[in-house]
Amino acid sequence: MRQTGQNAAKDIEHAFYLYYRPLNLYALHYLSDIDRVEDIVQECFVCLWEQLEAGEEIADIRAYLYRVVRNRCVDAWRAEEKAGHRISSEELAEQLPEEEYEERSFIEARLWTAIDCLPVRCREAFLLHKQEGMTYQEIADRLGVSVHTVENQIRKALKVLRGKAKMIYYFFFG
Amino acid sequence: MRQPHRTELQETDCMDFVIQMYRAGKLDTRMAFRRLVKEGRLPKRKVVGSLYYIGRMAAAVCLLLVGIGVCFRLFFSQPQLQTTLMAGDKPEEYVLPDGSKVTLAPHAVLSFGEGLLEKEGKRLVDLQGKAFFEVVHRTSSSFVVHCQVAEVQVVGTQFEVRSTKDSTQVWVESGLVRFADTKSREAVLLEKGMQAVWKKGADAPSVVHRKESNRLAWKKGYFEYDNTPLDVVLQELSAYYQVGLSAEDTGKRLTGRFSTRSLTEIMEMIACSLEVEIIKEEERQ
Repeated sequence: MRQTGQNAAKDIEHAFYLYYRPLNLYALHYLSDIDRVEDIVQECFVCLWEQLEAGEEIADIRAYLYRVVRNRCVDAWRAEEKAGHRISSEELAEQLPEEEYEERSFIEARLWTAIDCLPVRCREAFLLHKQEGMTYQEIADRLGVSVHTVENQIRKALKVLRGKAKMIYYFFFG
Repeated sequence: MRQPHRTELQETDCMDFVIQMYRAGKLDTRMAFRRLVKEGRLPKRKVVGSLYYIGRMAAAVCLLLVGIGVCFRLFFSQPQLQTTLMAGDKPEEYVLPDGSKVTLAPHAVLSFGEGLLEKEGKRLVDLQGKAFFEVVHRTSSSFVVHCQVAEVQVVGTQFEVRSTKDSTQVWVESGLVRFADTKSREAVLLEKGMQAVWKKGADAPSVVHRKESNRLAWKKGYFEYDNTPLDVVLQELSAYYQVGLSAEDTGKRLTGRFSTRSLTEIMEMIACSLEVEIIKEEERQ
């Protein structure tokens, strides 16, 4: 029946908006190259669509996506391991309690969204401090603002994110 | 076994992880989806847009009927063929046989007779629940939405109807609508932007003039604000999600577009951009 095509198209769009960001953050626990991760996650959605289009019944789309993403990440990891860039599979297994990362990925996706939402200057100062490890003075020089402003912006960012994390817990478990 | 304060530890972990991984402009869901659709690797969800799809629509209707387990005979005793359209948990968009478009809100039910032409010169549909109509203009045949309490008659226009057993509510997006009781003894004409409610047993409807820019948020899938005072925003969201939202500092103003998918996300985005704390009623102890 062709009608399933329309419903499936709707399902996949819905799933994409719900899970795209969490899946990427989940995959980032396996592979650190973000462009590669995005490619893998997108491939998985295309793969899901091909299955649905072929009339395959997939009862739990979320479980399916997480499974496929994980498998592909592990494959990619193994390939790198062979090339000698990575630690062994045993260590990998130890590092990855799967369910916990799946659960965490939703919280991480919301935090990512929260960083995305920070005012541009505030985000810039915050990331220079946290990612590059720059001091307030260095950031102030780079951005051409006072140390005081940098301090304020970073404090503001932290406050927003911490509040966000708490609020998220409220919604997730409260 | 869970350690005490595990959530707090996890919180810090998550935060550190996200901060280290964060790259501006990456993981843009909307853009990624659009690109995949453009490359033809994911489907484009089409609005069922022409008469050729009626076969498919009929199939959809059958599926829905079987799936939901509702028999149309339950609603109508007439022997002729009735078509029933309904929406599940999400709004559904349909094209009717005359080319008019209807968007059904979740759990709304729309039914009509064979080819819509039950009575001469009238395209008649029955509605329970909420729906938005975009009616194709036909001079020879007006379009009538029959509700339990009142009926709405138009020639060609866009409007929303909310039908319950106690009242019928109409809101006109464009064009002109005739709003009458079921026996057509009393009627009012409604123009663009007007809304009217007909309560069961009332002699006439009450007409309201009120600007409601997000009236169709359920259909469009987003709220749009343009320098809107925060208290107005919170009122609207509270009504939409049936919760009680409040904030300390309601003097601030909000501009932006927010998807209706998640209230949590909207609250976060507002809290984040306006730097206010939004309190949800259920959370108050």
